[in-house]
Amino acid sequence: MMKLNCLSTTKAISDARERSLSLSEKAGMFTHLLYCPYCRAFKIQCENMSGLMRAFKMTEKTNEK
Amino acid sequence: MSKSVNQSISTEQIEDIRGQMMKFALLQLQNSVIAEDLVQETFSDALKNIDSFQRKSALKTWIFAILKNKILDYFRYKERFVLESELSQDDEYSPNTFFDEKGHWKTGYYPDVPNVLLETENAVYSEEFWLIFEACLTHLPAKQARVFMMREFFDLGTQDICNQIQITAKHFHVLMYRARLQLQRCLSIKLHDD
Repeated sequence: MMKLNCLSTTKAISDARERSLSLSEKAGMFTHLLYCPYCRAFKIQCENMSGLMRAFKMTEKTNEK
Repeated sequence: MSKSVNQSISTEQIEDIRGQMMKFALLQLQNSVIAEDLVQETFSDALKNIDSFQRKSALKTWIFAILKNKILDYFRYKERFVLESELSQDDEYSPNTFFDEKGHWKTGYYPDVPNVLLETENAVYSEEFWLIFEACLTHLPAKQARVFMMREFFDLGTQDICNQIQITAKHFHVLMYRARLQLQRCLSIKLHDD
C-alpha cells in the first residue's frame, strides 16, 4: 500500500471525482484520511462545492419554466 | 410583455447584469466577439420570452440560465480552435504554495469548512455567496476557472473537456486539483471575513 502525504492525498481526493482510483491509491487515501483532519476537511469541501453547483443549477431550472 | 415586469426592471439593473454576463462568457469562451454575440442573443431571447419570467429577484439567474445554455451549445456544436495565449500558459505541475517540502499542509493553509457551507441550502439562495464565488473564480488562472466551470457547472465529461481545450486527461486532473485547492482557500478566507 502507498503511504500518502497530504499533497498526494488531496490530489487523489480531487482525482476520485474525475476518474476511478486504483486499489492502492484508494487504500492510501483512506488510511491517510483516518488520521488527517485537514485532508478530511478538504474532501468535505470538494463535495460541498460540487453540491452547491448542482443545487445552483436546479434553482436555475425552476426559474426557467 | 406584462406591465409589472416592465416596471420592475431598471436600466441600471440590465447594464449590471450585462456586465456580469460578459465577464462570465469571456471567461468561458476566451473570445470577446463570440462572447458579445452570445450575450446579445441571450438578451433578445430573454425579451422574447419575458412572459415566462416570474420573480424580480430571479432575473439574473433566469438570464444567466439562458446564457449558460447558449455557451453550452457553442461548446457542443461549434468547432473550437486553441488560442496561442492558452498554450503559452504555465502548465507544469509544480509543488504549490499549500504544502511544505514533505507534502504536508503548511500552517495557515489548513483547509476548513466555513459554517455557511455546512448548510448548502442557505448558500445556494444567497446572492452574496455567489458574488463571493464569482470573485474567487475570477482570481483563478483563466484555464483553471474554465475547466472547473466546464466540469462542475456545465457538467461536461472528461473527454469533451479535453477535446475542447486540447489537453490530456492527466493535465485536466491537475487543473481541476489546482482549481479546487485555490477556490476552497479563497472561499474560506472570504466567507470568514464577516
